[in-house]
Amino acid sequence: MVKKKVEEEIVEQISNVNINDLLSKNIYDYGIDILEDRVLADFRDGFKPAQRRILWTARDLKAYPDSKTVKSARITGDCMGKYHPHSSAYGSLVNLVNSDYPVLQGQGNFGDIDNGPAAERYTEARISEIGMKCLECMPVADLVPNYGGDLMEPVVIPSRFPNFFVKDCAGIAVGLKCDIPAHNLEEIVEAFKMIIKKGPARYSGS
Amino acid sequence: MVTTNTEYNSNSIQCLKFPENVRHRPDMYIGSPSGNPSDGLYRLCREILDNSIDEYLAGCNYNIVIMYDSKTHQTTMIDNGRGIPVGWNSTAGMNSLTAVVTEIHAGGKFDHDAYKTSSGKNGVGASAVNALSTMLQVWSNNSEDRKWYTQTFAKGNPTSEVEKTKLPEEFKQYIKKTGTIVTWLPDGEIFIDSIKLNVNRLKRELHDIMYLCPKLNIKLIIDGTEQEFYSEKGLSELVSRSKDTTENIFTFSNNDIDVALNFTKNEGYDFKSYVNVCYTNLGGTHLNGFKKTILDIVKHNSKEKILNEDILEGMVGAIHCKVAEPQYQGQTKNELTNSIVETQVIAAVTPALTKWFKKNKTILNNIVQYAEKMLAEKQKMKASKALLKGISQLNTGARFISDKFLDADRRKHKDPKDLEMFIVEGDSAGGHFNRARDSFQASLKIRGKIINAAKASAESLFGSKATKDEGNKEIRSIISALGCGLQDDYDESKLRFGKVIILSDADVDGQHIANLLLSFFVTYMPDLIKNGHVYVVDAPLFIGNSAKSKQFGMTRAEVDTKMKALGIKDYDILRLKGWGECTAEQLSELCLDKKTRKLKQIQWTDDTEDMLNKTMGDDVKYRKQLLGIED
Repeated sequence: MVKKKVEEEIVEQISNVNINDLLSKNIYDYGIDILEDRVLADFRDGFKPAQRRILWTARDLKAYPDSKTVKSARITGDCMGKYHPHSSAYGSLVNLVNSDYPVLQGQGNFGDIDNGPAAERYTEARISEIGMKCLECMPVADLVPNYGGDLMEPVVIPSRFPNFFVKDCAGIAVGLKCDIPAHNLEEIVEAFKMIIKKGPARYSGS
Repeated sequence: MVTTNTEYNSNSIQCLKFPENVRHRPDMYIGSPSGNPSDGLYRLCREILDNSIDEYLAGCNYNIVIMYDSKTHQTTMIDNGRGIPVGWNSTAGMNSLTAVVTEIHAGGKFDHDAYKTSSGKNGVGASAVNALSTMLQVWSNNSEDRKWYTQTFAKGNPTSEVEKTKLPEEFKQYIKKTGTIVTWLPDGEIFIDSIKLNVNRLKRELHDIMYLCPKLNIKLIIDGTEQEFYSEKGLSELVSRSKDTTENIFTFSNNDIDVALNFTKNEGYDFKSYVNVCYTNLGGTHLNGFKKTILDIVKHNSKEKILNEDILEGMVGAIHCKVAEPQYQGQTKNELTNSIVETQVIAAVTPALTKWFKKNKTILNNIVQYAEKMLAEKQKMKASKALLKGISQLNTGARFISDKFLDADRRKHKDPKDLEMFIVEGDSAGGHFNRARDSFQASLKIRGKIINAAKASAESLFGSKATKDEGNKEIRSIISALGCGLQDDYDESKLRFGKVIILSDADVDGQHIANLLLSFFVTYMPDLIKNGHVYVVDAPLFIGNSAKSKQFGMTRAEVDTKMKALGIKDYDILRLKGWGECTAEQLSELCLDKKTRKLKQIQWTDDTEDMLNKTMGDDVKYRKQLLGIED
């Protein structure tokens, strides 16, 4: 008898949600997040959020060019725990190491065009000279709270190195996609010099 | 410059006469002579057979005997027709018996009085056979004195005069009064690969011929073993070869057109068409006319725009037309092109079929109903019939075992309405869930982002037999776990759960996964949502933990204010990203325990399908607008 009474008392808290609103809200949240926080590189520093956070984490770990390399797993682990609560951190780290003008200098097998890299527990990395150039102006960077609200991370890394122009970037978001080829650093520098001297210029072909 | 010594003048022009013309270019007359068995060799046999069938069509012949010796490859054709005329023919300047087998374009088929319609028509038949045989002998008794005459040939040239003779003993039993006997041995010089007759093909075509020529008795004797081909009723026997009931057969025939149509329950449809006892494997105007007649009558009885293939489903039909001057596309007579035949067929068959349908209304209604149902099904979903069959098999499976699916305790809870199925994202939440769940709760783990049903083809969702693709595993396990079927096959009574609860993580990827799941339900199980079976968990993003109390909120500030109201200062706030982050107790409190959890029931609206296409389908415009992206 007592049991029955208890069962009758259970009234579930059920509210209604219109499926159209739900679909729309979900795709909006997802789309905005993907756009702002996942696949597109910021034009100011050329990093995707995951890449920026890895460089930022490496700075936290003080893995500078003159110090010892640290295990990749330490960087990715810290990065995921502190700033980037997703699963793709090691892939981003490998891409940073393997780019033409790397901001991270790797130690160990980071793979080649045919083979994947060694697991993150084997490889090691530290910030390269180029990476230090990127981080030179850090004191003036805007910082925002991380996902948990307990730590700060940069919106962009203000950089003296033209990272956006020399690093390739590809990504597909909701409604947008980006595809930027890598450029030669010397040519980019020449182009900058010309723009500084003569003002805006246009490529006229040859 | 290319220099050449050969002169090219009036003497270089060659004029080939019979039989050199046929022997030189046999493929022009009988098709390819090479190959084993060769097509041309079979045509020889068919040309002589056609002559005998023409006698049948003229109403003068009811017996044909074909003898074949597999060792010597000698073939003999005997018929009880009028016989080849024997006697002096003044136009040809020779005996008509000789003319028929040695002159191209000599024959009775050009005379409409002697033959109204014929299967052979170009007058090449017998002479071509003669030219391509090392030996050919003809007997006929169609002479003034009704005596038997014979003549022999080699490679087209006569080796004897037309002589009066006695009928050989071996043929006597097959000849009743009049007739023609032709025996020949193909030339190995022409048929270089083999002079073996394709007996199987002959049997196959005789099988057709017997239905086209009712009451014609054909005997095939191979090395002494006899096989008989005979049909009493003709075409209506052809369309009901299997033991169907004969009530559903429509037949119609007049002088020129023979039609039979059987309404079966077979899959697909099958139509055979013939012109003057020749099988036209590519159809043509006569078959088109027949099909148009059926389709027009059926379509007239439906308001929907039903599809042709659905109307014809299950029909087995045959049409045989006698056309006086048939024109074919291609040398091998496989597609009729006389456009007048189409209108003739339509005009003749339409009244008869309409009348027949009036008598047999249920058959017509069944066809219309089936076609309308199929049309509706096709419009609703892209999945083909074969696919649906595969899926229904999946549904009927009594037990569904998978390491990803844990069923509720069905011995304890008999009514499926009390049961709940949670679709859980990933292993990290699933592990917890299995510990926290109650006996009436089942869990189905899905891995990562599932396929988008609004964009993907039915084949990639459900697999296809053609490519032996198994389809999407996640989708298959959802279908099997629910057990209620798809689309029109949706059966509320077979639904194995009262509530289907989407338990994806509270981050943006979780929202995306929820959308992907909804995309599948909206596209393939709309009734599930319409009947209010689908729920999402209304989960908080932040949890405030203190020794005294626990508070939940959608934002950090919300938790802060709640804690302040309670006067608690010492607390931690946890951001709930994935269900893997909270403990089993928290999961139970937030999602599983009926007393404390909050659910949202998903409500269907009329424009949901449209909205799905905008948010998850191919319509990118809406999403760009939503996100404020300008082109």
